[in-house]
Amino acid sequence: MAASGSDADDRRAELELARRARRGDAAAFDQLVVRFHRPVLRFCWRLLRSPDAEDLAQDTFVRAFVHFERFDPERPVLPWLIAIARRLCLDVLRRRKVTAGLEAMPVSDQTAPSAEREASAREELRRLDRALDALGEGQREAIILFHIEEMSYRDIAAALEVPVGTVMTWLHRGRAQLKAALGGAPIV
Amino acid sequence: MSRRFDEDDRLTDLLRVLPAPEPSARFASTARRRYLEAIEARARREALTGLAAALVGLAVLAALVGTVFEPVTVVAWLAEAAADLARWTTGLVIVSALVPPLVWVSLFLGSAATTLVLAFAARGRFTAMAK
Repeated sequence: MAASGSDADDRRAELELARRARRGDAAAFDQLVVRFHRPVLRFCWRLLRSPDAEDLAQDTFVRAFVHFERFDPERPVLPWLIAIARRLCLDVLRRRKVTAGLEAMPVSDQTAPSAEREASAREELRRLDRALDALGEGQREAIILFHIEEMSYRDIAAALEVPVGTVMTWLHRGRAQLKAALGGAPIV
Repeated sequence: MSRRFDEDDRLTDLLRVLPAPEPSARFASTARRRYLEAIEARARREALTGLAAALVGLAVLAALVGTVFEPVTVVAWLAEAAADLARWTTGLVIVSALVPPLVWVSLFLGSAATTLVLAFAARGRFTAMAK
């Protein structure tokens, strides 16, 4: 898919900010943080499920823009950040076992007309959350980046450092497992 | 086909309402502090790398000089140069101590006057040739 003019402008602006941040411009760094901190933090949190996610998300930005010489200007900034975040998270996961804090998770702000329906929706989300955690590493990352962060196949492939075909396979299999986990239950 | 797309959409909707944390209020300021520390560390690292490279370069140069010239010859040459310098310095100190200050002043003024005269003469000649 060809990038539109606006997308190309955005990429140029991001690249310029990244170059300035590489040279030590703290204002440019701040702008990049504001622009990308949510998806990077969400991604780290989905992989780690621990308060370390914020620390790693910050580390991602620092590493990215202090060691900017490894950046490929043909690629947009977000997949590159996700690739760095992923490596940091996988290092942490290898070092220690992180358990999902499902019980401590906040309640979704989705409204339901009755307590029964709310309980049902909550149960469905729990099932989905557990199923997402149970997916293989690549499948989970592809599902998060495609469905939650709305990234393209190409950008996901760049972030996960695999071919586009692998991303499509992971998505297909991941979706199938999530749907099976939901078991055709009604979605509120 | 359309059913599959509907299911995918429903899955997307559900995945997006899964709870996820928002960045804390200190996220940006902490990231900025860490970034500035990392930039400083990088500058220090680069300076140390430069210094180490210069030292290595110097060592390589010394090794090359050592292979072209005999180290004993180089040391003897350096010692001779140092001795010459010391001799000349001592001589100058002795001469300046022997000659009275009045002679030094008249010598300096005479030299200055001669230089000025020569400069003016050269300038006049140059102007005449230009015309």
